[in-house]
Amino acid sequence: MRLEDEIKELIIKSLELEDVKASDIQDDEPLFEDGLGLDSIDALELGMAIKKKYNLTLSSEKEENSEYFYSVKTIADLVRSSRGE
Amino acid sequence: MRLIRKILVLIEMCIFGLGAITIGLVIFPILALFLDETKRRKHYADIIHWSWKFFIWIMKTTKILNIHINGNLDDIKGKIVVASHPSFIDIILLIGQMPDSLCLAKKELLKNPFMRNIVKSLYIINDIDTNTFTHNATEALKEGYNIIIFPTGTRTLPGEEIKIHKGAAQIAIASGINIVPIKIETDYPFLIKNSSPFNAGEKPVNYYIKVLPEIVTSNFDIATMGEIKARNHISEQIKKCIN
Repeated sequence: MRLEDEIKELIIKSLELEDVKASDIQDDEPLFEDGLGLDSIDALELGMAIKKKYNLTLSSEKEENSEYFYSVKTIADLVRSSRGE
Repeated sequence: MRLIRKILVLIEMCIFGLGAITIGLVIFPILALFLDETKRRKHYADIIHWSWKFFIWIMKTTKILNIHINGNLDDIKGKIVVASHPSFIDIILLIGQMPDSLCLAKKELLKNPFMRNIVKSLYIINDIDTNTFTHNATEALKEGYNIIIFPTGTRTLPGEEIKIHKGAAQIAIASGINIVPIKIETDYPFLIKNSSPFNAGEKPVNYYIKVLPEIVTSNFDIATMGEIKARNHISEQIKKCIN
């Protein structure tokens, strides 16, 4: 499975988005506000799920985190860079 | 008529802005010298309630708007109030009608020179730190204040598909307190997002404020479905009410 698809599944599962399918989410679509419409509360939840699954340490700098969490693609890039790929 | 309305709305907006600056920069700081922190909130909330009530009275008297209320806003105490948000003055209307009400304010308002001090001294900032704002809101609800939330986060344009932020559901779950949905509508677009206050229309704008049946938090089996799912379900319910 592509890392991007794995992340989509993780988003749906961790936020219990019942009406959303992985195929509905585009790799580069914004996750927050205009795109998928997640909010800051979802961001917190998603941040924890991603940290746990990929053993990432996220900085507490909010601005920086919101850049990483912009889209599925940016999260995937973050995971890849943490693996040293 | 159109020109007279434009001028009146502009003058009234200036009155509002000057009033907000005076309250935030002069009245609150002076009161703060005499009142200890625990007593400030009640006095601040009263001042805002009465001055915004007065402001709406000016708008009604000058025939800028009419207000039609369906339901009893005075009876709402210690509740989470979620409202639709078509126009700039929605919060002024609600707080002017409902004593002891606070609101959840977006942090961008701290950059607004007119509103900054009022928001900072009285309201709960919807900061990214969810735990803090949930805690602050729960404490205020326990003290008997209403927390007014526009769950769309910002004004919505006519016909726009709304997205519901989950802060209201989050606070309901944390506090166990019920949600009162209020639908605010106008008969034509007035002081909407991205419009100039010069678009004042030709006749008084009618505001229809409808108090809808409470969303009962204990009806959601949070223990079984878990907080995340409960938050989604409650938010979905809010959307149905105010859409």
